[in-house]
Amino acid sequence: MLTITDLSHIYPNGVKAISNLSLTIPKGMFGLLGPNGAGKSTLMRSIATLQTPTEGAIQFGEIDVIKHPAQLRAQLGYLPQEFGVYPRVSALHLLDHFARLKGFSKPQERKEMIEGLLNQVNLWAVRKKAVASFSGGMRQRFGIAQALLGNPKLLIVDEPTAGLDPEERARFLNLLASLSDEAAIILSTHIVEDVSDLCPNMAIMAGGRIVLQGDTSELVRRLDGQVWRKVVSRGEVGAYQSHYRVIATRLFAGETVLHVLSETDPADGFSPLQQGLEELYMASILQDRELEK
Amino acid sequence: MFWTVARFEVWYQLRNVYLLAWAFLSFAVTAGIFLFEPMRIDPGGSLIATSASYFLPTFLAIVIGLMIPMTAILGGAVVRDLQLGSGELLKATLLTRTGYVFGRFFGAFLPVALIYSLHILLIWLVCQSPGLPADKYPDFKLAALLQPAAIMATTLLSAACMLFAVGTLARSALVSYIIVALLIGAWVFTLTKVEFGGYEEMRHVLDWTGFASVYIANETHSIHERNTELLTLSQDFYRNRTLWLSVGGFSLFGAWLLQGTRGGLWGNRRVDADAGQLSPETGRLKRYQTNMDLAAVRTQIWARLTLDLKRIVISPAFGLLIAGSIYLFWTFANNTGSFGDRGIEPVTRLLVKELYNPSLLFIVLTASIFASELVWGDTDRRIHELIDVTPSGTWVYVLPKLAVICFATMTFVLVGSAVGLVAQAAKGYPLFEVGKIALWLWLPLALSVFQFSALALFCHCVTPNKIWGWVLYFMLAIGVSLVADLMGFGHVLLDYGLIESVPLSDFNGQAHFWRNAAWLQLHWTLIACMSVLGAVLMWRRGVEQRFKPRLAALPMVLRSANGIALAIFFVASSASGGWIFYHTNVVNSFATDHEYKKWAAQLERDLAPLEAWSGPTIVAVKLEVDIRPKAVTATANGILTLENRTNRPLTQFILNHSSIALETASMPDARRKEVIKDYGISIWTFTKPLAPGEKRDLTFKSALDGNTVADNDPLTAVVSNGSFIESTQLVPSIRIDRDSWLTDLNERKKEGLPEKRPLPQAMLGENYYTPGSGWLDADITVSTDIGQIPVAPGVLVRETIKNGRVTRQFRSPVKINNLFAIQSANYVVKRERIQLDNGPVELEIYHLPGFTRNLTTIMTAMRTSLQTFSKLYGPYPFGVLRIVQTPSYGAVDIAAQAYAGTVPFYEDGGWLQIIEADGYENDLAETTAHEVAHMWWGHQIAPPMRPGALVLTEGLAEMTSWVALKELVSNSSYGTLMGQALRTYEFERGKEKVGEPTLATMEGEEYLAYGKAPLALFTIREEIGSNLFDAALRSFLIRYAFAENTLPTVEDLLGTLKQAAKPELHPLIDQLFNERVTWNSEIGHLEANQQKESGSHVEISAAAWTESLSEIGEVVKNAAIGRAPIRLYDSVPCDEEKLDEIRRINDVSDDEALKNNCYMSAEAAAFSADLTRTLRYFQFTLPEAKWVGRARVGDAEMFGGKGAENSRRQASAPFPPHDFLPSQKPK
Repeated sequence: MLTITDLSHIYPNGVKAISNLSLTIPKGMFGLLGPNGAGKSTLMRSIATLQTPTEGAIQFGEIDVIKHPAQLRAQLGYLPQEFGVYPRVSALHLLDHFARLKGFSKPQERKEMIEGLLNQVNLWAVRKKAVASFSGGMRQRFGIAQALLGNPKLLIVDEPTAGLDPEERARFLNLLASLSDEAAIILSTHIVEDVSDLCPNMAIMAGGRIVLQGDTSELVRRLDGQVWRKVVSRGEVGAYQSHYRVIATRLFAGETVLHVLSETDPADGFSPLQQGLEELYMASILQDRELEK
Repeated sequence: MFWTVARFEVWYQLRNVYLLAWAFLSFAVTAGIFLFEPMRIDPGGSLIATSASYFLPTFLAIVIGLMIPMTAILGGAVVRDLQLGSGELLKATLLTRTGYVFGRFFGAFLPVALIYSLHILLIWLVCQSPGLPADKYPDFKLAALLQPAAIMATTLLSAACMLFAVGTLARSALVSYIIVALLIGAWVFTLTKVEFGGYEEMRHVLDWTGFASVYIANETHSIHERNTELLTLSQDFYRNRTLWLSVGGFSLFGAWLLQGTRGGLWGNRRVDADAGQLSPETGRLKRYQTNMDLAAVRTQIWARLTLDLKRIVISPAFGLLIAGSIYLFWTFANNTGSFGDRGIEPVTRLLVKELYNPSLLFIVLTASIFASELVWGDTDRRIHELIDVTPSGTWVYVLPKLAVICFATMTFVLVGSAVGLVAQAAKGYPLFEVGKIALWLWLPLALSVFQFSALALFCHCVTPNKIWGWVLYFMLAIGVSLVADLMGFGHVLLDYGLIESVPLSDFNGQAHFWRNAAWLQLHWTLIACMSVLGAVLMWRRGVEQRFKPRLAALPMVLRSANGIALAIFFVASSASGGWIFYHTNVVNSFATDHEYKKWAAQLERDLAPLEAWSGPTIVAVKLEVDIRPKAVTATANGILTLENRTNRPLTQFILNHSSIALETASMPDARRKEVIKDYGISIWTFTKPLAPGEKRDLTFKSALDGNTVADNDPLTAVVSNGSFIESTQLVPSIRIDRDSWLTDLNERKKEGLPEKRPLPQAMLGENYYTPGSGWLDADITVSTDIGQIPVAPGVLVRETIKNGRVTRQFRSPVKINNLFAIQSANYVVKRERIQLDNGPVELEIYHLPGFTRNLTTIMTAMRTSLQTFSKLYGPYPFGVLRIVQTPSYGAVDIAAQAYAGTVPFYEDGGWLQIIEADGYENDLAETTAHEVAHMWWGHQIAPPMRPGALVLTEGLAEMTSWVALKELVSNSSYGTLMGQALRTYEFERGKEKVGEPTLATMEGEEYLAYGKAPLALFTIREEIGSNLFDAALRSFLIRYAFAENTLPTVEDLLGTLKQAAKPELHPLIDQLFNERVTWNSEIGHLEANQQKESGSHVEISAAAWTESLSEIGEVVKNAAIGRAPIRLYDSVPCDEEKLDEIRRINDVSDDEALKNNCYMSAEAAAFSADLTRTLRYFQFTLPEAKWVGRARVGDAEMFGGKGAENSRRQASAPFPPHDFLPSQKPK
């Protein structure tokens, strides 16, 4: 279990990326949602020992991550949002290099692991090609492979499905799911569906804080009867926004559909909507903004 | 679109903080050069700061400096779009390739050009500053500023074009910088190294700055010309500029073409590799647990090592550096077979000497290149987050990087050595002495490699970005040492890793000198270990790059094994530093430059009054020298006989032991009254005054010890084989000398000393070389280890071998100067006896076994010179003449020295010289003849300490050596020898600090002693005839040889020569010695029509005049030359004599063809006329039809006819050409 307590991080330019954040992440898949600039990547990097937070504590099992980062690294798999590669180095060689850096000294073990991973991420056929020449999606798959090297007890993946086609995305999500029994997996993403499909637990971040966390299904259920929809003309949107707590404006079949949050029936032609994680996310963000005001 | 792109680029670059910072720095340095004396560029002390000659190197330095930011901004102007991806956006607009390329170039160049222009304005403003010294900043002329500025503006433009093309091609800042470094490096070596061996003309082509062509065209200018005239621009210069501006233009065009190729913005883009249609495979996912044991760490280190090594070795930058290093090392290694302009055998120690400093320079520069690439490479490629989350310890990062940096930098040392071996082989040197190279070069440089690699790694680890990494590295690696030296507090402990090469010789290799350097190597290696630990402790991991947080965490990380190791190395390096400091500052009595100058100034103030003391004179020396080669020590027990040659009793005298380690000294009826310890001077009192004519003995003991540690200037006199101890290192003197006085005028001024301190009357009559000594009776005994031969001046009178020691006693048959040397080595001796008029003379050559290459040449030169000089000038009195091979440990660029009957010949110039063509004069014969001539001029004639003294020694020795050479080598030409002397004079006179003295007033000026003096003497010899001249010198010797009371002066010599010359020659003698006069001639035009019946119609205009020059070379008076001969030449078939000469020189196979095609010049007519500075026109008709193809007036000559090349239409020399000598003028 990963426990984060009162974590704060302030960058040299004064930006407070994380503010008194506390979070508990159990074994299994954990989804982390949040808008751009919410502090997700800073949180990921702090957990991954890539930056020391200004304040707070991170504990993974028995390991104090801030004091003994090396101990965590031996159990860590990490895929950052963006990463580069060495020029003129093939996928096979680079993966082997990472395997060595992760401390796998036996060639046979490395071989088996690498071959298995390259097959899993569907890069076996291009294993001898330079990673630098890979397309964005292929490179992302390579990143996934390196993160899965060994037997990580904590796997942190930041936007892992960005750039993957639907087939590869499905393949990757299945792979993650198969690992979730043995490891704590933090999935940071913008794709709400990934979280709803995979993560029994989740948190939503905004402004460097956790605005909502808990069991995914439970959280979604909390919104029962509070989300309403109505088809309006485009010119009316402004007026509705000033009178209702609009959480989303959608286009559906050429018509504008408003989603609003209301504990009671707003009447005025609104009809109830079967809410999902996306509505929960939007509602949370709205509530957070309202609180900030 | 061009203007749109250019405007944006200008706007963009003007906001570039690095460019602005560089500009500010460049402005500050430029202003400093003019305002702050220590920063002055000093291409010649006499140059004023407002002359075009001064501005030229200033602008050159500005351009070279601007190349650094230019590389970044011109290269970056196009690379930026490719790297950031903005290129595609630009391409999607209406922008054309032409508009893009030229707009980017123009926009990036304009800010640089603006900065350059602001320098011109800045210099103009600075030169108007009222506080500047008037002697350095007299009248400011705008043209003098603008001309060199314009010259270097062309360099700036062509360089900018090339850099733009380089940036476009390389698409990497590092590669661009390396190319620029190589370009600058190649230029430096072009200027400094392609100087000899017939490559001079190549400088006009190779020098992309154009500086060399301007420099060469202005090289012989006088001080006045350099200070007042604009720069002379030769055709070579214009050709050079045309060439390099064209190269610039083509480079720009090349950049345009490159943008259209694959990889360029307008070319076909690369297509990403694609997985293609893959059949989905399930593949079993194997899971293993990380086990961080020793094997894992080993695997990690090996993984990083191989990857880092590949990254460096297969990078284009490394390949470029290797290619550049091959070129540069070849240039240096190729110089191995040169001693000055002489060809010598490229032995391995000379190769090592040539390679050491460039190799060290490569190490210093490339260590940071590789460190920066390796430390920042992961971050630059944004792969660092993936690497940093692996369970790799910090050592896993640092160790492989250190190893790779060491490997990469050491590669240059090895490449340099390989190039050196190839150069040796190309020069015909048969031995590949890899063992010597390994010991003398690889071993010390391997330590340097580690030291600078560790430092570079540390600097790039602790700093927050590459730029600061470079800045810190240069500060620590070079900056501290440089600034300390500039500020005058340089110390060996401030020169990180910059350990000078250990002296090498064919006698002993490194001898014991390696011990001197070993302590420094140990110290810097310990500091380097600390740097490595520092890099480990401060290694940045993750996204935090700042220094402060890592520093804050340091106390915590120090509580580890690394911290303990750091403490241990700190203690060890402090101890080694303390030991070095103790030896440098205490044992070796160290002073900083600043302290030394203060000390020397005070010494002069304190001791100058003592110069006026008249004291006794040393008239005899008895010396027993005990050389212990294995212990590297020598002791001397000596007796100096002092005589009162004044006409009054003497009550005190000075004992000067400043240059020796005096252990004891005693004298009957005398005692030491006062010791001025800091200066090595003692004042002695005669308790019983020394009466006129009375002699008394001073007994002394002195010692030499070569066992020093960390000595900047180690004692080289005593070594295990090849000791060379000069008398001044063992024998005290009894006068104040000026050896330690400051000579630089600026320094004297700064220390408040007078510009010049005239010699007191008491010193004027003293021997120029050994004040306080007369001609000595010398009795010298030298003992050394058996197996070595001791050598001292005089004839060998006794030899004993006892207890493993060999002792020889030498006594000179005549008196000698109190200036001699004692030598000892395992010599073999080549002997020959010759019979001269006054008896036999033993000729002996002491040399190392195996060094027999030039024995015959040296012996022949000795024999012929002795025979010639004794026949012409008088008997050789020393009974024996020895030439002794001498190690080059201590000597720099000296071929030989002359002592009475003994000539130490240094090993480089003497024993390795390659004589390419027998039958022609060679430097070895010339040097031998010159040194033998000193047995008359210097060791029989000794001038007093009056101006012009060197005319009597070096001037006469050089001129008379020409006479001996003519006897020695049948094909020897006086013209060649005079030409060499003229070049010596012309190239140096303009660099005088204060002005050129006359021959009669010169003091230590070598360009006059070796250049103008022999020319003047030879001119007089030619004019009054060799017989009369030589007889005059003989009579001069008869009168003044070994003279005790009246030492001969230059006036005495001139008086003797005037007696031999007709009265009409006296003014010429005076002009040559007492004035600065040039003889000039010019031919304006020549036209000759060959008319068969009425003869040949000739038109010619000519001028001839003398110029009297001031000290700085300004013309103060013109005078006409009366009855100057004008000679016209016809072309006629060669006569038999000419044919014979050609046959002798060339291998003629078809004699008939030679006869039919050979033409020579024959005088067709000659007449004389009074000529002046202005061209005078003549026309006349020759009675016969002749083809007048050439005319000559003095040394000026002109070839007539359409399309004919004009050659030397103007001529000027500091002596009259043959035709202008009074005896040659038509009656």
